[in-house]
Amino acid sequence: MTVREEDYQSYFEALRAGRKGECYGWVQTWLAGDMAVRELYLAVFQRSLYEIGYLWETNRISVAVEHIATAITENLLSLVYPRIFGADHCGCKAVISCLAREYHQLGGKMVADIFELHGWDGYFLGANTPLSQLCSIVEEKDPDLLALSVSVAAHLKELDGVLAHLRERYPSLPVLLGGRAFQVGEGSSVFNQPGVLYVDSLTTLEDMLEGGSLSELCQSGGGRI
Amino acid sequence: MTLDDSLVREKLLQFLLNEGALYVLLLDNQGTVLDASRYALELYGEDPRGRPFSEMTPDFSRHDDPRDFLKDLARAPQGLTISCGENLPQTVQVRLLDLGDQGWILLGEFPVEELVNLQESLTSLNAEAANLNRELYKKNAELKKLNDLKNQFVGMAAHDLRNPISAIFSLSSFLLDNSVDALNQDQYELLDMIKASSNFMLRLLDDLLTLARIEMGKLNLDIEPVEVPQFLRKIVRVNQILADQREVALRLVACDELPPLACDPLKIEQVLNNLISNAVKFSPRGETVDIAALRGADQVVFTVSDRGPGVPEKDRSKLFKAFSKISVQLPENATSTGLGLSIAQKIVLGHLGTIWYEPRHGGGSSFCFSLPLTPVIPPKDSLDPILLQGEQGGESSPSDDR
Repeated sequence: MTVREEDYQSYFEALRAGRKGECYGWVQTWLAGDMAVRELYLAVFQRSLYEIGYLWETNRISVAVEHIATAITENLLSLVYPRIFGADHCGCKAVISCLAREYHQLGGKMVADIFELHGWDGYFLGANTPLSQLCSIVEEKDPDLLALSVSVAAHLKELDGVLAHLRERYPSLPVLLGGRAFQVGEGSSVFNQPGVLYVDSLTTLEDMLEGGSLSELCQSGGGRI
Repeated sequence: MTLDDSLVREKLLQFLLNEGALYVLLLDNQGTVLDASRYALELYGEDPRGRPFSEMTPDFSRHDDPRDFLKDLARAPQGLTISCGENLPQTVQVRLLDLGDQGWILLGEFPVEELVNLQESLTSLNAEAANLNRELYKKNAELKKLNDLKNQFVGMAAHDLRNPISAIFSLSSFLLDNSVDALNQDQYELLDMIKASSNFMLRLLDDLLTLARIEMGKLNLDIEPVEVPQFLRKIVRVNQILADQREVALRLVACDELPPLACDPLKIEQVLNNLISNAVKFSPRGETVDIAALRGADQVVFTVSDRGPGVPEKDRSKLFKAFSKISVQLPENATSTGLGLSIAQKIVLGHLGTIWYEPRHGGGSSFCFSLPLTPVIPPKDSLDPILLQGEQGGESSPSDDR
C-alpha cells in the first residue's frame, strides 16, 4: 500500500495546522490498511518534516509551527511501535545517537526503528548526546555498530573530532553516518575513514539490512566497505 | 462618513480589557489599581483591583515613593520587564502611559523570549517523553517474549508431567478400590495419601496448563447466548453435591430477569465453580453460601457470598495473583493450587468484564464479577498477558483458592 497524494496533502495540512487528532487518524488508517512501516516513515513522516523544515527555512511558518509539527510526529511514531517491536531478533545491536547540541532527533529515531524492524536491537540515545555519555552507553550495550545522525550542517565540523575519538577508543566498532546535514553540507572528509560508512537514506539502510551487508560489516570488525 | 470617536474609543477599551490577550492596568494618581484586563487578572491569579500596585510587584516596592517608579517607567521608552507572580508567563514587558494628574495606564506586551524558551523546553520534554515511551515499548516487547517463552516451558512441562501423574492417580485409585483386603491399615493410609497427592498434582497441572494457554492469548472463547437462570440453577445443583460433603448449603438468592447473556458458558461455569468451591471450602459447617445474578444498566453482576472468615484488608490486593499466599488458614483437608482466582480473573477479563472482592456485610466474603450484557467480541489486546497482569492487584481484584 502506498500513500495517495491527496491523502498525504490532507495529512500535511493537518500537521501544519497542529491538528494532531487528524494526523493520528490518518496514521491509524494507513496502519489499518497494512501500509509498510518503511513507506509510512519515508513517504509520510520524513517527507512532511522535510517540507515543514523548508517552510521554516524560507520564513513561511514560524519556529513554533515547526516545533509543534515535530512534536506531533514524535508522538505519531508510537502508533507504529507495536509492529516494530514485535519482530524476531537476530541478536545484533546498534546504538543510534545524535551529536552534542544536535536537537533534531527524529531522523535518528526512525533509523533506530528501522533496525528494530529488521530484528536488530536499536538503542536510541536521543538528541544532544554528549560524547562522554555516548561512550558510556557504547560500553554498556557493546553494540555491533554505532550510527550517528547529523541534521544540521554546522555540526559536521565537529564530526572529525568525534570520529577520531571513537576510532581510538573502539577501533573495531563500525560507524554509520547519516542525516540531512550530509545532503546540504560538506561531509566528504569523513567518508574516507576506515570503518565509517555513509548511508544516504532510510531506503539504503533498509536495503543494506535486507541484503545482509551490515551484518558482514560488523563481522569483519569494521573494515571499510 | 466618519466614525463616532468616543464610540470607537469605548469599544477599543472594552476589547482591551475584556477580550484581548493584553496586560492592561488602569491606575489612579496614587498608584491604586482601578481596573484590569481579563488577561492581567488571569496572570496575577487574584483580583488586583482596589489594591496599590506596589503590593503586586517586587520591582515596584523597592522605591520609597511608588509614584517615583511609575514616573521613571513613564520616561523609559523601551518599557521595563516586571515580574507578575508564579503563573506563566512569569514576566511581562510593560510600558506606562501617563495620564497626568489622573493616573496611569500600564500596558504589557507578550514576553516573546520567555514564551519561545517555554515552547522549546516543552518541545524538548516532549521529545524526552517520546524517547521514554519508545524505550517502554521496547522493554514491554522484550518482557512479552520472555513471558511467552516461560509459558511455553510451563505448558510443555505440565503436559509431559500429566501422563505419569495421571497413571499414579488411576493406579492408586484402582488399588484402593480393589485390594482393600490385601492391605493393612498403614498401607491403606499410605496409598490414600498417594492418591490424594496425585489428585492435587493433577489439578495443579491442569491449572498451570490453563494459565499458560490464557497468558499466551489462547483463551479461545466460544461465545453463545446463555439463559442465566437455568445456567445458574444447573451450576448450583452440581456444586451442591460437593457442598453436602462439608455440610454447607448453596442458595440461589436472586436471579433477575435477564436477556440471554453472550458468553462462553463452559468458561463462565469454570469461574463460578471456582468461586463456589472456595466459598464452600471456607464456610463453617452448617452455614449457607448465597449465589446471585443481578442486572445492572448494561451488565449482569454475579455474586458468591460466604460466611467464612473473610479476607483481611492487607491480603486483598494479592487475591487474584497466581501463587500468592494470604494469611487466612486453609480449613482442614482443604487444598489450594493458588491459581484458581487468577484463572477466573483472566476468563472474566477475556469477556471484557471485571472481577472483585467485597467483604460481606455481617462477616464473610463476597466475590463478584460483571459481564457486559451486549454481545462483545473481545479485542486481541484484552488477552494480552502483560495487560492482564496489569489488571491484577488493588481493592477490586480478588486469588483463587484463598
